[in-house]
Amino acid sequence: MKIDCYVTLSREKDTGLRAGDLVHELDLAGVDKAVAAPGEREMAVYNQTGNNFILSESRKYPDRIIPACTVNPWYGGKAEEILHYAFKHGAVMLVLHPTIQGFLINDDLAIPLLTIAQHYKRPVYVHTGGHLYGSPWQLIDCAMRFPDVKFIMGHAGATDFWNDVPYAGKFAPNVYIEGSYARPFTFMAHLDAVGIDRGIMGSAAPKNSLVYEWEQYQRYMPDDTYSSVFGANLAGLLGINKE
Amino acid sequence: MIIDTHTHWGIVWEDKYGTDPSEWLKVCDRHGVDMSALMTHRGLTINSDMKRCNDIVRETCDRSGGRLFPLATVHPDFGEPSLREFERCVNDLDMRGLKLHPWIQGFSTSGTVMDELCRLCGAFNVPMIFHDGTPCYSMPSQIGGLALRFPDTKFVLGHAGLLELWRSALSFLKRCPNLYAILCGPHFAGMTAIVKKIDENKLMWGTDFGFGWSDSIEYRKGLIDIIAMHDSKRTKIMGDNAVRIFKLKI
Repeated sequence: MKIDCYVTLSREKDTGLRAGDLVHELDLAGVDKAVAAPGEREMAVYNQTGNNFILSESRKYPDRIIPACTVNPWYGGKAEEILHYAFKHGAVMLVLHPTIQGFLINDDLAIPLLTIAQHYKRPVYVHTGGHLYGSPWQLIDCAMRFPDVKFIMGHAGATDFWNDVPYAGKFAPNVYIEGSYARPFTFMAHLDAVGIDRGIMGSAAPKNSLVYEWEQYQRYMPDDTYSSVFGANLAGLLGINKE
Repeated sequence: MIIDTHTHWGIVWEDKYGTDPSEWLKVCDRHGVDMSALMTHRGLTINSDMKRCNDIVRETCDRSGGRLFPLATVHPDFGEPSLREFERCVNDLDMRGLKLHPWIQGFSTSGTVMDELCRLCGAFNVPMIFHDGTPCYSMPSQIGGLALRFPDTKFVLGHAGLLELWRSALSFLKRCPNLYAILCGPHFAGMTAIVKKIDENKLMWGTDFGFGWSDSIEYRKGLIDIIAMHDSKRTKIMGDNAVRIFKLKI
Protein backbone atom coordinates (compact mmCIF):
# COMPACT_ATOMS: atom_id res chain seq x y z
CA MET A 1 0.00 0.00 0.00
CA LYS A 2 1.26 3.45 -0.92
CA ILE A 3 0.18 6.40 1.19
CA ASP A 4 0.97 10.06 0.71
CA CYS A 5 1.46 11.54 4.15
CA TYR A 6 0.78 15.15 3.35
CA VAL A 7 -1.50 16.96 0.95
CA THR A 8 -3.75 19.95 1.52
CA LEU A 9 -7.29 20.45 0.34
CA SER A 10 -8.72 23.94 0.16
CA ARG A 11 -10.71 26.36 -1.94
CA GLU A 12 -7.80 28.78 -2.37
CA LYS A 13 -7.41 30.28 -5.81
CA ASP A 14 -3.76 29.44 -6.45
CA THR A 15 -3.13 26.49 -4.19
CA GLY A 16 -6.58 24.99 -3.98
CA LEU A 17 -7.30 21.31 -4.46
CA ARG A 18 -10.54 19.39 -4.14
CA ALA A 19 -11.13 15.75 -3.36
CA GLY A 20 -11.96 14.66 -6.89
CA ASP A 21 -8.82 16.20 -8.32
CA LEU A 22 -6.71 14.69 -5.56
CA VAL A 23 -8.04 11.21 -6.27
CA HIS A 24 -7.32 11.70 -9.95
CA GLU A 25 -3.72 12.60 -9.07
CA LEU A 26 -3.45 9.58 -6.80
CA ASP A 27 -4.64 7.37 -9.63
CA LEU A 28 -2.08 8.82 -12.01
CA ALA A 29 0.69 8.29 -9.48
CA GLY A 30 -0.40 4.80 -8.49
CA VAL A 31 -0.87 5.84 -4.88
CA ASP A 32 -3.59 4.26 -2.77
CA LYS A 33 -4.33 6.90 -0.19
CA ALA A 34 -3.39 10.37 0.99
CA VAL A 35 -3.64 12.13 4.31
CA ALA A 36 -5.26 15.51 3.74
CA ALA A 37 -5.01 18.61 5.89
CA PRO A 38 -6.46 22.12 5.56
CA GLY A 39 -4.66 24.74 3.48
CA GLU A 40 -2.60 27.61 4.83
CA ARG A 41 -5.41 30.09 5.55
CA GLU A 42 -7.35 27.53 7.53
CA MET A 43 -4.14 26.39 9.16
CA ALA A 44 -3.63 29.89 10.57
CA VAL A 45 -7.25 30.89 11.21
CA TYR A 46 -10.71 29.42 10.66
CA ASN A 47 -9.43 26.03 11.88
CA GLN A 48 -12.91 24.63 12.46
CA THR A 49 -14.00 25.56 8.95
CA GLY A 50 -10.90 23.95 7.50
CA ASN A 51 -11.25 20.78 9.51
CA ASN A 52 -14.90 20.42 8.59
CA PHE A 53 -14.02 20.90 4.94
CA ILE A 54 -11.43 18.12 5.14
CA LEU A 55 -13.86 15.78 6.87
CA SER A 56 -16.47 16.56 4.24
CA GLU A 57 -14.10 16.04 1.31
CA SER A 58 -12.70 12.82 2.74
CA ARG A 59 -16.20 11.36 3.09
CA LYS A 60 -16.55 11.56 -0.68
CA TYR A 61 -13.67 9.08 -1.05
CA PRO A 62 -13.38 7.30 2.27
CA ASP A 63 -11.08 4.63 0.87
CA ARG A 64 -8.66 7.16 -0.62
CA ILE A 65 -8.57 10.28 1.54
CA ILE A 66 -7.60 10.12 5.19
CA PRO A 67 -8.61 13.26 7.11
CA ALA A 68 -6.16 15.17 9.25
CA CYS A 69 -6.97 18.28 11.24
CA THR A 70 -5.26 21.36 12.51
CA VAL A 71 -5.71 23.88 15.26
CA ASN A 72 -3.84 27.01 16.23
CA PRO A 73 -2.69 26.78 19.86
CA TRP A 74 -3.10 30.53 20.34
CA TYR A 75 -6.85 29.92 20.48
CA GLY A 76 -6.34 28.33 23.89
CA GLY A 77 -9.38 26.52 25.27
CA LYS A 78 -11.23 27.03 22.03
CA ALA A 79 -8.40 25.23 20.23
CA GLU A 80 -8.79 22.27 22.55
CA GLU A 81 -12.52 22.10 21.82
CA ILE A 82 -11.88 22.19 18.08
CA LEU A 83 -9.31 19.42 18.35
CA HIS A 84 -11.57 17.16 20.42
CA TYR A 85 -14.33 17.68 17.88
CA ALA A 86 -12.10 16.85 14.92
CA PHE A 87 -10.73 13.67 16.48
CA LYS A 88 -14.18 12.52 17.53
CA HIS A 89 -15.46 13.05 13.99
CA GLY A 90 -12.77 11.09 12.20
CA ALA A 91 -9.57 13.09 11.94
CA VAL A 92 -6.65 10.72 12.39
CA MET A 93 -3.68 13.09 12.57
CA LEU A 94 -3.00 16.51 14.03
CA VAL A 95 -1.06 18.91 11.82
CA LEU A 96 0.76 21.81 13.43
CA HIS A 97 2.49 24.51 11.45
CA PRO A 98 4.55 26.58 13.91
CA THR A 99 5.65 29.06 11.25
CA ILE A 100 2.20 29.89 9.97
CA GLN A 101 0.54 29.53 13.34
CA GLY A 102 3.25 31.56 15.05
CA PHE A 103 4.41 29.45 17.97
CA LEU A 104 7.27 27.28 19.12
CA ILE A 105 6.58 23.56 19.15
CA ASN A 106 8.70 23.19 22.28
CA ASP A 107 6.90 25.98 24.11
CA ASP A 108 4.35 25.24 26.82
CA LEU A 109 1.66 26.74 24.62
CA ALA A 110 1.53 23.51 22.63
CA ILE A 111 1.24 21.19 25.61
CA PRO A 112 -2.57 21.04 25.86
CA LEU A 113 -2.89 20.06 22.20
CA LEU A 114 -0.19 17.44 22.41
CA THR A 115 -1.80 16.04 25.53
CA ILE A 116 -5.03 15.64 23.61
CA ALA A 117 -3.24 13.94 20.72
CA GLN A 118 -1.64 11.59 23.20
CA HIS A 119 -5.03 10.80 24.72
CA TYR A 120 -6.50 9.89 21.33
CA LYS A 121 -3.28 8.11 20.28
CA ARG A 122 -3.04 10.25 17.15
CA PRO A 123 0.26 11.11 15.45
CA VAL A 124 1.27 14.74 15.16
CA TYR A 125 2.68 16.11 11.93
CA VAL A 126 4.82 19.20 12.53
CA HIS A 127 6.03 21.40 9.70
CA THR A 128 9.76 22.07 9.93
CA GLY A 129 12.12 24.18 7.87
CA GLY A 130 10.81 27.63 8.75
CA HIS A 131 13.71 29.58 10.12
CA LEU A 132 12.39 30.75 13.48
CA TYR A 133 9.81 28.12 14.27
CA GLY A 134 10.90 25.15 12.20
CA SER A 135 14.12 23.81 13.65
CA PRO A 136 14.27 20.00 13.81
CA TRP A 137 15.83 20.30 17.25
CA GLN A 138 12.80 22.22 18.52
CA LEU A 139 10.69 19.25 17.49
CA ILE A 140 13.09 16.79 19.09
CA ASP A 141 12.91 18.74 22.34
CA CYS A 142 9.12 18.55 22.20
CA ALA A 143 9.14 14.86 21.28
CA MET A 144 11.38 14.06 24.23
CA ARG A 145 8.75 15.64 26.48
CA PHE A 146 6.06 13.47 24.88
CA PRO A 147 7.72 10.10 24.32
CA ASP A 148 4.38 8.36 23.91
CA VAL A 149 3.31 10.58 21.01
CA LYS A 150 4.43 9.76 17.49
CA PHE A 151 5.66 12.86 15.67
CA ILE A 152 6.27 13.31 11.99
CA MET A 153 8.96 15.84 11.07
CA GLY A 154 7.28 17.43 8.06
CA HIS A 155 9.66 18.36 5.23
CA ALA A 156 12.68 17.06 7.14
CA GLY A 157 13.84 20.57 7.93
CA ALA A 158 14.00 21.59 4.28
CA THR A 159 15.55 23.70 3.08
CA ASP A 160 18.16 25.06 5.46
CA PHE A 161 18.02 22.64 8.38
CA TRP A 162 18.87 19.61 6.28
CA ASN A 163 22.20 19.21 8.03
CA ASP A 164 20.55 18.99 11.46
CA VAL A 165 18.28 16.09 10.58
CA PRO A 166 20.77 13.18 10.66
CA TYR A 167 21.83 14.21 14.16
CA ALA A 168 18.54 15.39 15.60
CA GLY A 169 16.66 12.45 14.14
CA LYS A 170 18.59 9.98 16.26
CA PHE A 171 17.61 11.58 19.54
CA ALA A 172 13.93 10.76 19.66
CA PRO A 173 12.78 7.37 18.36
CA ASN A 174 9.20 8.65 18.32
CA VAL A 175 10.00 11.11 15.52
CA TYR A 176 9.53 10.02 11.92
CA ILE A 177 11.03 11.92 9.01
CA GLU A 178 8.75 13.05 6.17
CA GLY A 179 10.49 13.94 2.94
CA SER A 180 8.38 16.43 0.99
CA TYR A 181 10.46 19.47 -0.06
CA ALA A 182 13.61 17.64 1.08
CA ARG A 183 14.04 16.30 -2.46
CA PRO A 184 14.85 12.63 -2.94
CA PHE A 185 18.62 13.00 -3.08
CA THR A 186 18.67 14.59 0.38
CA PHE A 187 15.90 12.49 1.88
CA MET A 188 17.82 9.30 1.14
CA ALA A 189 20.78 10.56 3.13
CA HIS A 190 18.50 11.32 6.07
CA LEU A 191 17.14 7.79 6.00
CA ASP A 192 20.62 6.36 5.91
CA ALA A 193 21.20 8.14 9.21
CA VAL A 194 17.92 7.62 11.07
CA GLY A 195 16.77 4.37 9.49
CA ILE A 196 14.34 3.43 6.77
CA ASP A 197 11.78 2.36 9.35
CA ARG A 198 11.35 6.00 10.30
CA GLY A 199 11.00 7.44 6.82
CA ILE A 200 7.67 8.60 5.44
CA MET A 201 6.78 9.74 1.93
CA GLY A 202 4.75 12.88 1.37
CA SER A 203 4.23 15.05 -1.67
CA ALA A 204 3.03 18.35 -0.16
CA ALA A 205 0.63 18.63 -3.06
CA PRO A 206 -0.68 20.88 -4.47
CA LYS A 207 2.32 23.09 -3.77
CA ASN A 208 4.24 20.25 -5.32
CA SER A 209 3.03 18.09 -8.14
CA LEU A 210 1.91 14.85 -6.51
CA VAL A 211 2.56 12.78 -9.61
CA TYR A 212 6.02 14.23 -10.19
CA GLU A 213 7.11 13.87 -6.58
CA TRP A 214 6.08 10.23 -6.39
CA GLU A 215 7.71 9.45 -9.70
CA GLN A 216 10.96 11.08 -8.64
CA TYR A 217 11.17 9.65 -5.11
CA GLN A 218 10.43 6.15 -6.35
CA ARG A 219 13.04 6.53 -9.06
CA TYR A 220 15.73 7.50 -6.57
CA MET A 221 14.55 5.12 -3.87
CA PRO A 222 13.99 1.60 -5.21
CA ASP A 223 10.89 -0.06 -3.89
CA ASP A 224 12.63 -3.25 -2.83
CA THR A 225 14.61 -1.28 -0.27
CA TYR A 226 12.36 1.64 0.57
CA SER A 227 8.87 0.16 0.27
CA SER A 228 8.10 0.81 3.92
CA VAL A 229 8.81 4.51 3.39
CA PHE A 230 6.10 4.65 0.75
CA GLY A 231 3.35 3.32 2.94
CA ALA A 232 3.89 0.78 5.68
CA ASN A 233 5.59 3.09 8.16
CA LEU A 234 2.76 5.60 7.98
CA ALA A 235 0.12 2.89 7.98
CA GLY A 236 1.57 1.70 11.25
CA LEU A 237 1.28 5.16 12.76
CA LEU A 238 -2.27 5.60 11.57
CA GLY A 239 -3.31 2.10 12.59
CA ILE A 240 -4.60 1.15 9.19
CA ASN A 241 -4.22 -2.10 7.29
CA LYS A 242 -0.80 -2.11 5.64
CA GLU A 243 -1.86 -4.33 2.74
CA MET B 1 20.96 25.28 -25.36
CA ILE B 2 20.50 24.35 -21.71
CA ILE B 3 22.60 26.28 -19.20
CA ASP B 4 22.67 25.43 -15.53
CA THR B 5 23.45 28.74 -13.86
CA HIS B 6 23.96 27.46 -10.33
CA THR B 7 26.56 24.75 -9.73
CA HIS B 8 29.55 24.31 -7.46
CA TRP B 9 32.91 22.63 -7.81
CA GLY B 10 32.20 20.75 -4.63
CA ILE B 11 34.82 20.01 -2.04
CA VAL B 12 34.30 16.28 -2.54
CA TRP B 13 34.81 16.65 -6.28
CA GLU B 14 37.87 18.83 -5.85
CA ASP B 15 39.42 16.44 -3.35
CA LYS B 16 38.94 13.49 -5.65
CA TYR B 17 39.49 14.99 -9.10
CA GLY B 18 41.50 18.15 -8.54
CA THR B 19 40.59 20.33 -11.49
CA ASP B 20 39.44 17.58 -13.85
CA PRO B 21 35.71 17.97 -14.53
CA SER B 22 35.36 14.92 -16.78
CA GLU B 23 33.23 12.87 -14.38
CA TRP B 24 31.26 15.93 -13.35
CA LEU B 25 30.41 16.66 -16.98
CA LYS B 26 29.19 13.11 -17.51
CA VAL B 27 26.34 13.88 -15.11
CA CYS B 28 25.52 16.97 -17.16
CA ASP B 29 25.59 14.85 -20.31
CA ARG B 30 23.06 12.44 -18.86
CA HIS B 31 20.60 15.29 -18.49
CA GLY B 32 21.35 17.22 -21.65
CA VAL B 33 22.93 20.19 -19.90
CA ASP B 34 25.18 22.00 -22.34
CA MET B 35 26.89 24.55 -20.11
CA SER B 36 27.12 25.38 -16.43
CA ALA B 37 28.13 28.36 -14.34
CA LEU B 38 30.74 27.01 -11.95
CA MET B 39 31.22 28.44 -8.49
CA THR B 40 33.58 27.43 -5.76
CA HIS B 41 32.52 25.43 -2.75
CA ARG B 42 35.66 25.35 -0.67
CA GLY B 43 36.15 29.05 -1.32
CA LEU B 44 32.98 29.80 0.63
CA THR B 45 34.54 28.51 3.82
CA ILE B 46 36.32 31.00 6.01
CA ASN B 47 39.63 29.15 6.22
CA SER B 48 39.99 28.82 2.48
CA ASP B 49 42.55 30.61 0.36
CA MET B 50 40.24 32.67 -1.82
CA LYS B 51 42.85 33.27 -4.50
CA ARG B 52 43.68 29.59 -4.73
CA CYS B 53 39.99 28.67 -4.84
CA ASN B 54 39.29 31.11 -7.65
CA ASP B 55 42.26 29.74 -9.57
CA ILE B 56 40.92 26.21 -9.13
CA VAL B 57 37.53 27.19 -10.51
CA ARG B 58 39.22 28.90 -13.48
CA GLU B 59 41.42 25.90 -14.19
CA THR B 60 38.50 23.49 -13.90
CA CYS B 61 36.59 25.54 -16.45
CA ASP B 62 39.62 25.63 -18.73
CA ARG B 63 39.62 21.84 -18.78
CA SER B 64 35.92 21.58 -19.64
CA GLY B 65 36.10 22.20 -23.36
CA GLY B 66 34.02 25.32 -23.04
CA ARG B 67 31.25 23.62 -21.07
CA LEU B 68 31.88 25.50 -17.82
CA PHE B 69 32.25 29.21 -17.19
CA PRO B 70 33.60 30.55 -13.90
CA LEU B 71 32.20 32.81 -11.23
CA ALA B 72 34.45 34.35 -8.60
CA THR B 73 34.05 34.60 -4.88
CA VAL B 74 35.67 36.73 -2.20
CA HIS B 75 35.17 37.29 1.51
CA PRO B 76 33.98 40.87 2.11
CA ASP B 77 35.12 40.71 5.72
CA PHE B 78 38.71 40.42 4.49
CA GLY B 79 38.44 44.06 3.42
CA GLU B 80 40.64 45.65 0.77
CA PRO B 81 42.26 42.37 -0.37
CA SER B 82 38.80 41.14 -1.33
CA LEU B 83 38.33 44.05 -3.70
CA ARG B 84 41.71 43.49 -5.33
CA GLU B 85 41.04 39.77 -5.65
CA PHE B 86 37.74 40.40 -7.35
CA GLU B 87 39.40 42.78 -9.79
CA ARG B 88 41.97 40.07 -10.55
CA CYS B 89 39.19 37.55 -11.13
CA VAL B 90 37.52 39.76 -13.70
CA ASN B 91 40.58 41.29 -15.37
CA ASP B 92 42.97 38.33 -15.34
CA LEU B 93 40.76 35.26 -15.01
CA ASP B 94 37.82 36.45 -17.14
CA MET B 95 35.32 35.36 -14.52
CA ARG B 96 31.75 36.18 -15.40
CA GLY B 97 30.28 37.24 -12.11
CA LEU B 98 30.70 37.31 -8.35
CA LYS B 99 29.09 34.66 -6.17
CA LEU B 100 28.48 35.49 -2.53
CA HIS B 101 26.95 33.29 0.15
CA PRO B 102 26.39 35.57 3.15
CA TRP B 103 24.97 32.73 5.25
CA ILE B 104 27.89 30.32 4.87
CA GLN B 105 30.50 33.05 4.54
CA GLY B 106 29.06 34.79 7.58
CA PHE B 107 28.80 38.42 6.65
CA SER B 108 26.10 41.04 6.35
CA THR B 109 25.10 42.51 3.04
CA SER B 110 25.26 45.90 4.72
CA GLY B 111 28.81 47.17 4.89
CA THR B 112 31.36 49.34 3.17
CA VAL B 113 33.23 46.52 1.43
CA MET B 114 29.94 45.12 0.18
CA ASP B 115 29.07 48.55 -1.16
CA GLU B 116 32.34 48.71 -3.02
CA LEU B 117 31.85 45.22 -4.46
CA CYS B 118 28.44 46.27 -5.68
CA ARG B 119 29.95 49.31 -7.40
CA LEU B 120 32.71 47.22 -8.93
CA CYS B 121 30.26 44.70 -10.35
CA GLY B 122 28.31 47.57 -11.85
CA ALA B 123 31.47 49.08 -13.33
CA PHE B 124 32.56 45.72 -14.77
CA ASN B 125 28.99 44.98 -15.86
CA VAL B 126 29.09 41.52 -14.32
CA PRO B 127 26.28 40.16 -12.15
CA MET B 128 26.40 39.44 -8.42
CA ILE B 129 24.90 36.07 -7.60
CA PHE B 130 23.73 35.56 -4.03
CA HIS B 131 22.62 32.61 -2.05
CA ASP B 132 19.18 33.70 -0.92
CA GLY B 133 16.21 32.45 1.02
CA THR B 134 17.96 32.19 4.37
CA PRO B 135 17.89 34.56 7.33
CA CYS B 136 19.55 36.46 8.71
CA TYR B 137 21.99 37.57 6.01
CA SER B 138 20.61 36.06 2.82
CA MET B 139 17.01 37.08 2.56
CA PRO B 140 15.62 38.15 -0.82
CA SER B 141 14.62 41.46 0.73
CA GLN B 142 18.23 42.12 1.71
CA ILE B 143 19.47 41.37 -1.80
CA GLY B 144 16.56 43.42 -3.11
CA GLY B 145 17.71 46.24 -0.87
CA LEU B 146 21.09 46.16 -2.57
CA ALA B 147 19.34 46.24 -5.92
CA LEU B 148 17.49 49.37 -4.86
CA ARG B 149 20.66 51.03 -3.60
CA PHE B 150 22.79 50.11 -6.62
CA PRO B 151 20.55 50.40 -9.67
CA ASP B 152 23.46 50.13 -12.11
CA THR B 153 24.44 46.66 -10.87
CA LYS B 154 22.81 43.37 -11.78
CA PHE B 155 21.87 41.22 -8.78
CA VAL B 156 20.80 37.60 -9.03
CA LEU B 157 18.83 35.68 -6.43
CA GLY B 158 20.51 32.30 -6.60
CA HIS B 159 17.51 30.45 -5.22
CA ALA B 160 14.52 32.72 -5.95
CA GLY B 161 13.68 32.78 -2.25
CA LEU B 162 13.78 29.01 -1.62
CA LEU B 163 10.71 27.47 0.03
CA GLU B 164 9.92 30.09 2.64
CA LEU B 165 10.65 33.45 1.01
CA TRP B 166 9.78 33.04 -2.65
CA ARG B 167 6.88 35.45 -2.26
CA SER B 168 9.29 38.10 -1.04
CA ALA B 169 11.57 37.30 -3.95
CA LEU B 170 8.66 37.68 -6.31
CA SER B 171 7.78 41.10 -4.92
CA PHE B 172 11.32 42.43 -5.24
CA LEU B 173 11.70 40.91 -8.70
CA LYS B 174 8.69 42.95 -9.74
CA ARG B 175 10.04 46.10 -8.14
CA CYS B 176 13.69 46.03 -9.22
CA PRO B 177 14.57 45.97 -12.93
CA ASN B 178 18.16 45.06 -12.02
CA LEU B 179 17.17 42.03 -9.93
CA TYR B 180 17.20 38.58 -11.55
CA ALA B 181 16.54 35.08 -10.23
CA ILE B 182 17.66 31.52 -10.72
CA LEU B 183 14.84 29.01 -10.43
CA CYS B 184 16.51 26.65 -8.00
CA GLY B 185 14.76 26.09 -4.72
CA PRO B 186 11.09 27.07 -4.55
CA HIS B 187 8.49 24.33 -4.81
CA PHE B 188 6.38 23.75 -7.90
CA ALA B 189 3.72 26.29 -6.95
CA GLY B 190 6.28 28.97 -6.13
CA MET B 191 8.19 28.47 -9.35
CA THR B 192 4.97 28.47 -11.32
CA ALA B 193 3.97 31.81 -9.80
CA ILE B 194 7.37 33.35 -10.51
CA VAL B 195 7.38 32.13 -14.10
CA LYS B 196 3.89 33.48 -14.57
CA LYS B 197 4.37 36.90 -12.98
CA ILE B 198 7.99 37.91 -13.60
CA ASP B 199 9.55 39.29 -16.77
CA GLU B 200 10.79 36.23 -18.66
CA ASN B 201 14.05 38.01 -19.44
CA LYS B 202 14.99 38.03 -15.76
CA LEU B 203 14.80 34.33 -14.98
CA MET B 204 17.33 31.54 -15.32
CA TRP B 205 17.47 27.90 -14.27
CA GLY B 206 19.88 26.12 -11.94
CA THR B 207 20.40 23.02 -9.81
CA ASP B 208 23.02 23.60 -7.11
CA PHE B 209 24.71 20.49 -8.51
CA GLY B 210 28.13 19.66 -7.12
CA PHE B 211 27.77 20.43 -3.43
CA GLY B 212 28.04 16.70 -2.78
CA TRP B 213 27.90 13.55 -4.85
CA SER B 214 24.16 13.46 -5.28
CA ASP B 215 22.66 14.18 -8.66
CA SER B 216 20.34 17.13 -8.13
CA ILE B 217 20.03 17.84 -11.84
CA GLU B 218 17.50 15.13 -12.61
CA TYR B 219 14.95 16.32 -10.08
CA ARG B 220 15.37 20.02 -10.83
CA LYS B 221 15.44 19.57 -14.59
CA GLY B 222 12.29 17.49 -14.34
CA LEU B 223 10.64 20.09 -12.15
CA ILE B 224 11.17 22.98 -14.56
CA ASP B 225 10.06 20.73 -17.41
CA ILE B 226 6.61 20.23 -15.89
CA ILE B 227 6.00 23.94 -15.30
CA ALA B 228 3.75 25.17 -18.05
CA MET B 229 5.11 28.02 -20.14
CA HIS B 230 5.40 29.08 -23.74
CA ASP B 231 8.32 27.56 -25.64
CA SER B 232 9.89 30.96 -26.25
CA LYS B 233 9.86 31.70 -22.52
CA ARG B 234 11.34 28.30 -21.73
CA THR B 235 14.14 28.85 -24.23
CA LYS B 236 15.06 32.09 -22.48
CA ILE B 237 14.93 30.64 -18.97
CA MET B 238 16.83 27.50 -19.84
CA GLY B 239 19.68 29.20 -21.63
CA ASP B 240 19.28 32.36 -23.66
CA ASN B 241 19.01 34.67 -20.66
CA ALA B 242 22.21 33.24 -19.21
CA VAL B 243 24.04 33.88 -22.47
CA ARG B 244 23.02 37.54 -22.25
CA ILE B 245 23.48 38.09 -18.52
CA PHE B 246 26.87 36.36 -18.31
CA LYS B 247 27.97 37.63 -21.74
CA LEU B 248 28.84 34.14 -22.93
CA LYS B 249 30.49 33.60 -26.27
CA ILE B 250 28.55 30.76 -27.87
